[in-house]
Amino acid sequence: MRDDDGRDLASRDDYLWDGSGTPDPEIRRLERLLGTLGHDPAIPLARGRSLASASSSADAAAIDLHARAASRVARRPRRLLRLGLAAAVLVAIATTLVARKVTRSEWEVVRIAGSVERVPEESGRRAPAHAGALARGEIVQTSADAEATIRMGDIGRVALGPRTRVRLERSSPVGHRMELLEGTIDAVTVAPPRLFVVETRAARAVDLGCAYTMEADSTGAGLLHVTLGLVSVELGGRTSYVPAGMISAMRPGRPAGTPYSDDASPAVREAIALLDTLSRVDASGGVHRAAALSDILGASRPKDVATLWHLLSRTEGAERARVLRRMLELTPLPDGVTAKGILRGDARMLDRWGAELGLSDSPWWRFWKFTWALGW
Amino acid sequence: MQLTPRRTPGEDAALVRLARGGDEHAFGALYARYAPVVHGILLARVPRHEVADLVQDVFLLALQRLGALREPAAFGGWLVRIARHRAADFHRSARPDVLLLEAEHREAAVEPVTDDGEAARVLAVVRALPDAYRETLVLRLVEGLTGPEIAARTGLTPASVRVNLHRGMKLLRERLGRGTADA
Repeated sequence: MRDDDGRDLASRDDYLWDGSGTPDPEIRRLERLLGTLGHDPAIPLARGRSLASASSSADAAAIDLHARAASRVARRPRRLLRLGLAAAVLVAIATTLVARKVTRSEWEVVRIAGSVERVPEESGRRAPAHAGALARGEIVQTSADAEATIRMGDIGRVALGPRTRVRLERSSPVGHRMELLEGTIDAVTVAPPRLFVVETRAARAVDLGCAYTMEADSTGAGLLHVTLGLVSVELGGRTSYVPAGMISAMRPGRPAGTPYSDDASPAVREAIALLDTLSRVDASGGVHRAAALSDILGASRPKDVATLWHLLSRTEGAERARVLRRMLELTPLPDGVTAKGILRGDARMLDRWGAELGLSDSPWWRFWKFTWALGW
Repeated sequence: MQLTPRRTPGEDAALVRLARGGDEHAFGALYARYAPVVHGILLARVPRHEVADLVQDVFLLALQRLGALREPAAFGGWLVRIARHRAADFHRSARPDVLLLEAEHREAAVEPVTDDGEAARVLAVVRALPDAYRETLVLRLVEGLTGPEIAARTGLTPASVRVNLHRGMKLLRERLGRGTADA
């Protein structure tokens, strides 16, 4: 076989082809760099043992998906237990739901207080709300003095505050999705992670087992405040993991906001907003970013490590080094994570550290979803 | 980089037959074997933050449709087609603002906007290559598969994979601005 210039490929591309022959330094560099973005084979089977390594025929029979999910939760480091007994209760409830193979998925308006309207997608005509099932595409909207509650199958409830509009996008045993067009919702779920998703014009909030309040205006700008469990906010190549007691800002056209503690001072909130929106390459932006980072790091407490962990991947160079230095004063590096790796932006090390802090939708839920969807 | 071990279609066929019979361990083994391939195919086509969910979707679809697969030994190529279709579906149904933001990020590869700096920047360059090259290069450089494995698991001929790797790498070097001593 020959290349475009008529030369024999086999004699020149052995390393690129099958890893044999003399390694090409450039390819080796790209392998090391890009390899951090590949599929992570460390899907939990048991600590220190990957599914890939266990998938030889001799080991395959030992795989127990249910036991894996359970052992993952049980083997997590003690620090994760700080996420709270409440989260464990949610998991237990959800596990119970899985065990009895939940089938009810339809959404229902179950409480109406004040002036509430429903707008079916097909007619587009407003009508006073009544209790009962919602159809896909249907909008529920409350007036200034009204509230309503929607039951989402067997997975939880969403309470609509005044001046709120939501649209049901999807309700099925393997996923529930709604759009918050504007207003405020309080959501409580007891579902496996990622089963319930709320979208606004600016962001997507993925429920990882929790309770939260979300407010957004008609552009999608707003705040997500988590009161129990964990929510991921996803937009523009960036995911923010927002644990209980933290807030993440949603801004149209901007990546998901860096989470901050709900008792953070106004100065810290403002500094985080600056870091989220100021360019790293603009000179004047750089000056303001440095000042904002000083404010954040100077005020950071042990409970703020989640904020700092997010900043590790949202800063570079000297900024990242400053964040890492402060973070190491507050919490140790976990096994398998090095300062050097963090400084160069190693995605797997960052993920591993995040997982140790409870900031992850680690892959165990994916198998859980299999069992959920297929009734295993 | 550790390259993944080679598998045979015969092993796939046996696992598919077991999985069809409800053997979750067999499907788990297929998942372990093909997750990097599906991940790579999706990573070459959709925003990075969407890949994990879409990998899940692809395997769910595969499991639900496994009974319709006529030739169990062809599982790999069949799964790859599902992954490519799922990526196409994503682009058809994705919200315009998400795609716009992603496109802006891809074009603005100068400043890393995703979370891993240089790796994300280089990935953006790979993703901007022509279809045949970007998928093959992602499987080779990101997922760590060898050329023969890429051919076996995607249904492409080894000759096609080899050409795609060679030409794609040449183009990638040019676009990364490093030139090569190709001559």
